[in-house]
Amino acid sequence: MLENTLFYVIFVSQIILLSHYYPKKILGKIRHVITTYPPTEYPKLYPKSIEHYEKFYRNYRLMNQFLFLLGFIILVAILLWEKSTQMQLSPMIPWAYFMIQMFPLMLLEYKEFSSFKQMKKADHRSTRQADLRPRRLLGLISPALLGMAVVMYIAAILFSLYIREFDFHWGSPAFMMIIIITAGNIFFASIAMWHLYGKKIDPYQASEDRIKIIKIALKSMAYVSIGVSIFLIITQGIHDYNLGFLKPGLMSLFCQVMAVVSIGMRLRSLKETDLNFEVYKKDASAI
Amino acid sequence: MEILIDIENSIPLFAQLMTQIKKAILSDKIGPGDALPSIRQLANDLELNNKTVAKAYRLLERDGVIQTKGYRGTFIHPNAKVNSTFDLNGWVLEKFTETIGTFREQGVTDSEIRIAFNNVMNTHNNQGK
Repeated sequence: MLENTLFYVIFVSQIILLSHYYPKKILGKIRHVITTYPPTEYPKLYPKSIEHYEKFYRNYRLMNQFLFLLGFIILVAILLWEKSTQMQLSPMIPWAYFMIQMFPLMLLEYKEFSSFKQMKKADHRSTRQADLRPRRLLGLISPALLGMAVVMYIAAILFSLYIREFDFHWGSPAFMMIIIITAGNIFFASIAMWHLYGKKIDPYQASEDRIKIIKIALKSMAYVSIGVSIFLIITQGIHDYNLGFLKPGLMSLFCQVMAVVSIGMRLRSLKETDLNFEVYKKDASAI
Repeated sequence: MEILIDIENSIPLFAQLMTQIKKAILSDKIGPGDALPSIRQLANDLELNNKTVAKAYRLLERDGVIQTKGYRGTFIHPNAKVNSTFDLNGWVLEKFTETIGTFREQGVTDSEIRIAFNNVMNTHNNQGK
């Protein structure tokens, strides 16, 4: 059937994008950094041995290769299952696979934090520096983009109430939807506050680089928030207009869009050449 | 504009912070009306206690170097450049040196000077309560 074929195409795209294309890009960046900024000249960048980073590089590549294969195994399993049953495919399948696909990336984030923690331990400088420019939310993200995220959040709540004929009570679908979307946005707001006012995780990071990273993170979170709101509006509409067969494809597409505006944005917006690696040199000192 | 403090320096951290901000003003790196980071932001960036930064800001405000405008934040005072050149602690030292010199010329002993100083400080503190 056409809708199944559509799902298969979208799902193959999810497999390739998240378990091949983006991991390849990330591995390319890691290799570029190790080659261009080696431990002999930039020792502060490597609180652990280079072998440790090479091992992680190999494991990260293997994990994504496994997930790439797993994606096609799941696809074959879905094809066989659909031949033997008339039941509709659950949108939770592409969602569950997406969560598994995110595992190597979460591990990468954890390793990055762990590395920064080691850097802090190894940093015995008595001097500390800070930028005298205040970091303000509206100075680091477009007010229009932020406004759009707020508007879409309110729109998602209003649509959820409208489609349930304003039946709002404890445990109702509208109530649960509002809780989920509000919790998500509170989470984003907390991350934004941490970025703006929290302690510097990389002790050597240049102030300009910190600002660049904060701008990208805020922009990405705003787009994710907008995406989640739009997705919730669409899925509720689909449910109420008996277009449930579109849900699996829509879920897979949503996962890919989220990846594009988060992982993809960071990869596109932040090039190694944009960052100051001189701060990691052995004799680099504060100002 | 970056500032630098040394946690192993004998000069108190709040004093270093005050000096650095005054230097930035005197070298025109920041000017009247420019916003300064919040106490929390600066404390986190320098990994200092909030109270240390709060003390520096309080004393800078006393000296007419910065202005706090409530929720809007902290800004450089319009007369910051002039006020930054005035060294309050240096002025206190100068006045003390002059006054104690006068007392000694009149034959007042050091212990009499100390007793009088303590009495004046205690009286001031009691009036303050």
